[in-house]
Amino acid sequence: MSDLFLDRDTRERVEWDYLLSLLEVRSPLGLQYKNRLKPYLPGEEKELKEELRRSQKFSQFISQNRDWLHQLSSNLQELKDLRNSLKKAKEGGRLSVTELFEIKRFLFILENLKGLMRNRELSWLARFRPKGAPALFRILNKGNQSPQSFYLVDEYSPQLKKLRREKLELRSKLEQEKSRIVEELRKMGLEHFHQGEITLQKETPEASKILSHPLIYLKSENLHSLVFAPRLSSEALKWSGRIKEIEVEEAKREKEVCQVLSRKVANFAESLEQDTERVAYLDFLLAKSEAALNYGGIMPQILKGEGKTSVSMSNGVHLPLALRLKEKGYRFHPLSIHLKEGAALLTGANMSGKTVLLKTVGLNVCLAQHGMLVPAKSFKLRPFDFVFFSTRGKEQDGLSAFGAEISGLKRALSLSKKRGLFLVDELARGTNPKEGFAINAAILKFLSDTKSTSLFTSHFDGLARVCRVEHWQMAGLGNISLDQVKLLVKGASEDLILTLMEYRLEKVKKEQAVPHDALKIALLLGLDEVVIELAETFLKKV
Amino acid sequence: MRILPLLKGCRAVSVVGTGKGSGKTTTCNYILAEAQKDRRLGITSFGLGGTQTLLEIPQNSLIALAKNCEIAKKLELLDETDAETPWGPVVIGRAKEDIQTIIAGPLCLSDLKKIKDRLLSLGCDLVVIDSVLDKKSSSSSRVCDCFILSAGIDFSDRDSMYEEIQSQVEVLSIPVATSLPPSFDKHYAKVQEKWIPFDIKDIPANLLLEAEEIFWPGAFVGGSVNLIAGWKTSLPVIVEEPWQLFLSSSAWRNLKRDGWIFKSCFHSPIALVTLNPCSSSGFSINPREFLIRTSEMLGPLKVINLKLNE
Repeated sequence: MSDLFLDRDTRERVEWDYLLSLLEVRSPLGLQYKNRLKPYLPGEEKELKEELRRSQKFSQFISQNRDWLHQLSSNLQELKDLRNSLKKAKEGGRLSVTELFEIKRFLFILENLKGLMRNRELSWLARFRPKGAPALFRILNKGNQSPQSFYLVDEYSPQLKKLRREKLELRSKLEQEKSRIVEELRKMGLEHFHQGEITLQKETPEASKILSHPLIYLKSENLHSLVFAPRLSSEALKWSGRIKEIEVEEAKREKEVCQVLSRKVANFAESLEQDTERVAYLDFLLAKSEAALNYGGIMPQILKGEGKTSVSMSNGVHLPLALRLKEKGYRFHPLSIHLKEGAALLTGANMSGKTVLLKTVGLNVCLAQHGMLVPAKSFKLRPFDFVFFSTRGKEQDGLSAFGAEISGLKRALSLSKKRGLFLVDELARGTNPKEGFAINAAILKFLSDTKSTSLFTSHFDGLARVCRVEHWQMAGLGNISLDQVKLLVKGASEDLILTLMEYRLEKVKKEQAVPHDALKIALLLGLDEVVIELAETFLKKV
Repeated sequence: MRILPLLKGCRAVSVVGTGKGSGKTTTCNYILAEAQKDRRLGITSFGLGGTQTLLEIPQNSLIALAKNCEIAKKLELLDETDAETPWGPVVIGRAKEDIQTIIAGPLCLSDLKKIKDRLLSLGCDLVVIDSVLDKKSSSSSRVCDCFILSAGIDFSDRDSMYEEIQSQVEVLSIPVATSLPPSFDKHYAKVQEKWIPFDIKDIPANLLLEAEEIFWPGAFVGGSVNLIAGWKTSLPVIVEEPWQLFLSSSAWRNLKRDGWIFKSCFHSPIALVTLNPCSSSGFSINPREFLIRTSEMLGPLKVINLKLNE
């Protein structure tokens, strides 16, 4: 994610991270791909269209091929990030047995993925089909191994084979020798040997009897017990010593084999790194396509070059909010708007959905520019260099909330030579209304003369007229009077506000006052009617 | 004295101990030696096992251990799990020869469960779990069908040693509740056969009088008693599993004396108790006396001293 395209505050305000969390990648490779996701910027429209087309086609394909999807998913889940091991091999390092095992498993999964991607309906995705390394797989699959397991089999080294065979023979002879002694001792009534040892309580007849027996020696003792072990012949002791020597030699040979195999891996490292990138992309493509199927995403239309339309959204949805509403049993009212290069003003009652509209436009622009399908009926976009969302937030970096708001805006305005999307929510609402109006008017005017597209929300009257910008208005409670609200509010539930509010956007043709619905909202939220009536009296006097 | 007949029908057994040097790994080794001929064995450790006594893994057994354990090269590696440990993710392999080793296994119960299930799915018919120090959570019914308690003598004095063993056995074998709450993540009180959730920091007054049983989520520690001190003391407290009662022997005795009754939603039974009469510091006690006194104290529960075969 480019910080220039989407700064930290904007990311938080449009809920981009929450949206990304809805994309369920299967492997650490897919996760890394998701974490370093980059937007397509102006000039990359062709690549963006291709990416969106892949998302759309893949969504369609997986919706019709559920078994295939299941197989792909279970293979991707098994993938590990082996780039460190590949780097180590390339630098001449020696891979451990477990690292070689992981590489063999990776190759096995790549073969499975290759097979799955050979599907004729996916020929358009051939560029992202992993190539695998069958030759390396054959090397790591030497001997009578299962394709998914790994062991340093004898076939890798004749010396290793010889050493192991000798060790096996000596161990067997040693065991026989121990068994022979144990058997003889059993005849004397000493039954309970475990791993060639017997523990006896001190001062018992059994212990006294065998204390000086030639076939056994006292290995250890404590205050109450004696531990005996078979006394091996001098020849058996030599075998035991030889086994230890073999084990040292065997470890050396095993390291040599690992070194040889690591060199073989190094020869394929670059091609495997490329495959790693391919499967990481595949994992991410699956995650975003599957998510788009769930939320009903459509292919946005990408506009290129100069033109008036910047964003045209019909029935767009803000996914995170829609999901939260769904949990509570409510429905998100889809929103539509047409934005041109320049500035536009959005007015409406409190709680009528102005901020939600800004967030919906912002988030869906981000989705489209990251190659993802958009939750809308239709969506047109001329890509931006950045998206900026300003709202009165919390105090930060020693600045008041107003200070932080202006500081953020200053940074974004410095980029005004680029094509940005400015989403500005009730700028300067925390300062005195006269100056607040002036600041809004100035910035609206300034931005309307740039290549950027801006959408401001405000409660200030006359702003659109002064700045001569397009004016949109949320219908809100415009079709119901305060007296009607007073009648309805008696005995009504808290949900009444959601029932009465119209989340519809209208284009304001002639100059008209911004809606004055604050008293209605306050009443619906339960503010005492006596207070509302007092407020009405004051309002008439102003 | 054979252990396997006491584990009849059991596909996964955990060995937990009263503390350090209680003979957990030795007990595991006895099971492995006894079972190697006729059982397909799976072995893992809950944490770092075999630090005092090496685990003796028979050839062809499956082992689940951390990727960076040195012994991994003696295995035919079969699977890599997503259970993470400080020594790398847990891998599963087949021992190509008899191996004596320390093994580092999964560190949390959910990973241990996944690994136990994976070992069973790879064809093992007996999974043996060696536990670290006094970690009792591997006695959970989620990971084993039954468990063995290994009792050692690393205690300050002889009497407290017997008390500790007795209280640990009593805690781990509390009775199973007949009625379970709808979930295990909050406090519930049972009133007239209905489970009512409540906030432990703000207990409604009527619940103090009407509750018939309470469910305690997570760990119940000595201090938990203070939070419910005003309740009827004969009120049964239900925990999800017995190992979630983290109580010293004195705290356990005091609660019993005051009339508290504990039950669990689930449990796996204790199959037997094994004794180690030698401490890790070299001190030992009379093994026969230890065996006789512990057997008398624990009643019908089977108690054995493996090394003396008694």
